[in-house]
Amino acid sequence: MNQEEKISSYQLLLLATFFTVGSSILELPSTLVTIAEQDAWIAMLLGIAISAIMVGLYLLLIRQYPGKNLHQINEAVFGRKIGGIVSFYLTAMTFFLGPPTVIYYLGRFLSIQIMVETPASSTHLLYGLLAIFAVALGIEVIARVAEILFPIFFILYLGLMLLLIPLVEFERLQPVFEHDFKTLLWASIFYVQFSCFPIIIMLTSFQGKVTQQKKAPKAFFLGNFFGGSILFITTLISVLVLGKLTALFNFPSYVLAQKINVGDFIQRIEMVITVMWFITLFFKLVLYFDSAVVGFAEILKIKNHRFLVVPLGILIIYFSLTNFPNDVYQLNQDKTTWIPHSFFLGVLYPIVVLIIGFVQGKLKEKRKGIHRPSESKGG
Amino acid sequence: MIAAIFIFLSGVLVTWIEFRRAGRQINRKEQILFLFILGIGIGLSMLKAIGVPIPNPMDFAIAFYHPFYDLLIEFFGQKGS
Repeated sequence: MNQEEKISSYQLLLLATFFTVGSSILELPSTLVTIAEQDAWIAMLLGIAISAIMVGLYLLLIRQYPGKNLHQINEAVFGRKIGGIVSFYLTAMTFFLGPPTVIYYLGRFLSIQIMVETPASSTHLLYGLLAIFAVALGIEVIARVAEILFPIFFILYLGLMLLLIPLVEFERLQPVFEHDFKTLLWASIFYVQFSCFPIIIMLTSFQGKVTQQKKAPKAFFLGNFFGGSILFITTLISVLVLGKLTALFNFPSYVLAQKINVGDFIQRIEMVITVMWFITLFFKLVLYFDSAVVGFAEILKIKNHRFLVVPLGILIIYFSLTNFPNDVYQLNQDKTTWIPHSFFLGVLYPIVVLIIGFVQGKLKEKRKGIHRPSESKGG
Repeated sequence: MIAAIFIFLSGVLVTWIEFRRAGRQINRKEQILFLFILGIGIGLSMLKAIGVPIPNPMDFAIAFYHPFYDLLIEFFGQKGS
């Protein structure tokens, strides 16, 4: 593994933001409105709160095992063999379910909305090759790209949201709190399962690579929070402009951009949202892929993980083409597979590791306490 | 068939480029792993190009996770969603 790669805490913040926004900026409002209707923005707020708690938990995990990545933590907690199995399960499933789905989203969006006659496989191939190229260059290069692209993304986002303000109707938020807490919580799960729980895999790529170690946890937390805020504003604007109709669209943010019309002059700027989505999806894909490559290299005890990039990249392109025979299958898989997997990855796993780590720490202290008096006698 | 041949040739090209670039940096274990994973990727892609039906691993993932999903659905009282 290349230990010389270093990124700044600001770059970590940007990567965490991009990872959080990911594919959700285009699809999340629709899912939330389907479940919570006009209360989708409340579900989103709830999701941000859950996200803050969970990211806090992940940071606690880092503090308990300073300088170690997820796989080293697994080895320390579960032992070599079981730790290896846990690491393999987490890496393999995230590799199989994460990056191919991201590429599939992009292919589906392009073939439905923009390049209708172009086969999705060509999009998958091009985007997959881009990811292979990026991961082969390393996380340092990816972080610098994030630094270059973030201002472009943010200006486009801000412009889009400001141009939508004339279309806002506050009556669309009423009645507020029509749905019970459980429904809102269920809706918020759809935010955290894509944008919060999987962020734990970033700990695989970044542990020990951030130059300002003390600032890293804060940057990680703020990145996730900032990304959540972007999604909250997007969901709120979707409800305020489209109302309950948001649920009818696959890509409501794209429809929002289509609705912009300032003096019959600034109009048809939906490509703006496409560019934004290209950027955020790129980082989500690359961060998933990079963590999978680093994870497999760690499990297989390979010094230079770069050799795994191309073969694993080819597998990702293959899975992106074959995992989902159609959209209905993919929507079903999103719920039935990704939600439980992200629960295992983002909730169950860190809690179990923290508890075992805590018990192990206490046992160690106890053993030291028993040995100390005899040591002092001997001394 | 042409697609399968093209995929095979691109696999050979990738191997040649990677091994040439790596020089002596790559050890025996890494070589074997590289060829093994690349072989799986290229092999599966060729089978798909030829049109051989391959079981979708996602079906197994769905079968594995579905009971947990049902539990979550029950917990949140969202039956039918």
